[in-house]
Amino acid sequence: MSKIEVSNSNFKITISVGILVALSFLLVIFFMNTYNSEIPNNKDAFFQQSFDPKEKRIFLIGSSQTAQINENFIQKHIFEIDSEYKIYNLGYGEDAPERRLQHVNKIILAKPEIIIYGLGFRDFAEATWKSNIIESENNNFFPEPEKYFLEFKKNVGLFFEFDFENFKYPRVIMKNLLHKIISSSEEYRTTEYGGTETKPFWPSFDYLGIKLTDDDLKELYDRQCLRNDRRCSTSYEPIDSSIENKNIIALKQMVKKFQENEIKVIIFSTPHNHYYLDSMHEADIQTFERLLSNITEEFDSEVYQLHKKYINENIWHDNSHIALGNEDIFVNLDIGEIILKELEE
Amino acid sequence: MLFSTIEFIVFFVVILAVITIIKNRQFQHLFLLSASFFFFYYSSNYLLILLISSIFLDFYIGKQIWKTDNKNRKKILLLTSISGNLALLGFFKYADFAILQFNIIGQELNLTSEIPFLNLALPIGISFYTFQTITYTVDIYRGKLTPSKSLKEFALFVSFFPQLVAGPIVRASEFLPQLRAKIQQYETGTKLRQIIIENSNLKLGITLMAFGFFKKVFIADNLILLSDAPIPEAELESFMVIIRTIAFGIRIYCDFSGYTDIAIGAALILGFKLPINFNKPYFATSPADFWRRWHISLSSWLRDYLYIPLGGNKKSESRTYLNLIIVMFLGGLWHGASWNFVIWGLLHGAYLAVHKIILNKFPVLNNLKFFKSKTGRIFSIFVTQYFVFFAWIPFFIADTDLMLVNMQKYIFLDFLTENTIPFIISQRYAIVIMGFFMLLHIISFKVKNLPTKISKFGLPYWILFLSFVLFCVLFFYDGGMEPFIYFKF
Repeated sequence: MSKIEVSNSNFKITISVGILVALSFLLVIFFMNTYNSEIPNNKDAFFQQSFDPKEKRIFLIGSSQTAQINENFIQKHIFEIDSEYKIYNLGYGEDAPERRLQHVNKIILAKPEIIIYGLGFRDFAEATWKSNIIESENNNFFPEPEKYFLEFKKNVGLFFEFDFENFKYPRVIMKNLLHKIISSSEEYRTTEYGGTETKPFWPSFDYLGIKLTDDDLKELYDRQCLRNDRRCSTSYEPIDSSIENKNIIALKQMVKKFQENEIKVIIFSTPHNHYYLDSMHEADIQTFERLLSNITEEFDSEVYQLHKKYINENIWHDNSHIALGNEDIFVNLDIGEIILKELEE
Repeated sequence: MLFSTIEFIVFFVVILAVITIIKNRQFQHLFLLSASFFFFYYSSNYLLILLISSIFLDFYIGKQIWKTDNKNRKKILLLTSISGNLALLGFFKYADFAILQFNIIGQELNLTSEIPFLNLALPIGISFYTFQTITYTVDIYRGKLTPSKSLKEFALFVSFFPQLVAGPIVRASEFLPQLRAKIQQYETGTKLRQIIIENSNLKLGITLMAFGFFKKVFIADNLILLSDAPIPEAELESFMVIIRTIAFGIRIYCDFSGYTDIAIGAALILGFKLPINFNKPYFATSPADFWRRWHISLSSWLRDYLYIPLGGNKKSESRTYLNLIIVMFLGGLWHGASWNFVIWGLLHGAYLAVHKIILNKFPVLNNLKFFKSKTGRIFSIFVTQYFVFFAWIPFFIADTDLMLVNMQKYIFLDFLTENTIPFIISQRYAIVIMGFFMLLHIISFKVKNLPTKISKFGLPYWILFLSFVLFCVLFFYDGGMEPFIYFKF
């Protein structure tokens, strides 16, 4: 093959591959724009299911601390088998008001009668372990070309009005589309491993019911604090009680929206044990309690302060999570009482 | 810079464009060297100094070894080169591991003070390029290679970007001749080779890269959740353990061989041939056969530069078995400074030794008709893979307790349907992908040289093939940009 033939052939291959790649990217962008808003994640699949129209739903929402509450036990404990009320525990790991706000409209569309919202210190405090990661990434003395490239990429994206963040989700969208095609739209089945119909976003494994002894809890807590783990109270900055705290803003927006849609909101502070609370600054606890009181005043919404109530009880899976249990975990009984009281009112 | 990112695609397109435009051979090679340094600097920043130091050290020692006639001096120079490379590797990779062991011993002896950890960043690719530079000086010492007269060429051999981060571990005798016009014989007197992007190389290179992206993005990355999702010890049962172990086996194969395919493809487009690293390892019929098919450049390195110098199989039988275990122990430790890799290496060492013992004690097995029949081969494949996959457990589970529970459930079957069914439902897409991989693996085993055959398709059919791959890659892409597993070794 002569040099000219080689060069022509290379040109053909290069142009064909170039066009193919460009077309494929355009197709993905089109696909992302078409389906992105419709099917972002498995949480939506729960809210999009066809609920029983006769059912009166009670949603427990919050982070993993709320997720550990046994909604099945409470259901059986306070309601008859044929009761029209049904309790769902929608708690999931690392939830905070700012994150939960993204689902607020979906929650409203699911038309719950009552929302019981568990809030803890972590919902309002900034984690120090997050800022440590960011700091450690910025310690190079020499220039970092990656930063320039990312900046360039961002500018290209801005110019074409394309958000590269969208490229994170083709797989999720594809999977959800396949799920929609394969499964009946009426049927909802949690995709969270270990999840159940009434607790879709948090597993109900037996091991989550293990209660630790006081000595084990202390040892565990010391280890977690040493590692700057998220389950240790010293791994957080003091709570910022100013109006700029995004989680406070999000919480207020949510409560307001729920009330506008005639959904009753009951707030409770999630329980902690004495190791967790002892290592907290008293000022932080006061700020948190003040925040809860402000919510009561501003929205005339009942707030149950449970964070100090069980400090010495033998109910702990770790220092900020109660064990998954039944009547032996008094929190379940108390949440049941709260629901009954609110329904009677 | 990860191969599966937009950054790499931009980088590679720029390289191809510049190489095509520049016709001057010197500039082409110089540009390729600068690009390779930039590639390393992009992800490792100031650690580039280590790479450059390694290049200088071995280039000059290589020259000195060649020059001197004194055997003792040759030996000292070789030891300096090897210890220099290993010291670099040892310090950055194993210092904290050694400190941890000292501290544990200290605790046992009730010593109050502990040695603080150094928390060093592991330079990317250090395990690979130090092994490459060792081959250079050892081969010169053995008289198998003449040293490179040009520092630039040697530097390009060490830092050539497609294989810099995770291999294949290329030997100087394989790479340096490719820089010269007369490829058959490496003579520094011959002219530098002009880098021309040839039609057949371009098509085969792109095909190989497509295979690599498909394996990495479509298969390996889609199995992460299945193999890595934390499942508490109490919930584990045998089906789950077996599926997760198989998923990890498939994932690491697709991840690593995917990287290798991209590396070989990218190098081929530029006219360089890198050695193959995988040859359908999950069709191996014995542990020895597995190591002839898995990470071939490392296993052959270990054979030539460790096993044979230790005496190989030339000494007593027991020494041969011990050599196998030592080599695999070090091979395991090479993967990472952690006991789980050591266990993985020791398991493979034990497999090789036991297999050799069986063949030595019962030579009749070698000629048994059954093992030559189709059924016998399938039987051998299943038995071998049972053990190979068993060894993946310590490779991907570092926590000793969890590792032992997984191993126990893998051997002593203990099924619990109430846990299995929700697990299958939650992981059904990943399980389908595993099935798809097995089908493709069988096809590629049956059809020899599949990428070459595909690259010879007419342009329209070839484009159709690429469209399918691009569809799978782009539509199942996870923007999390999961790094290649072997990047951390």
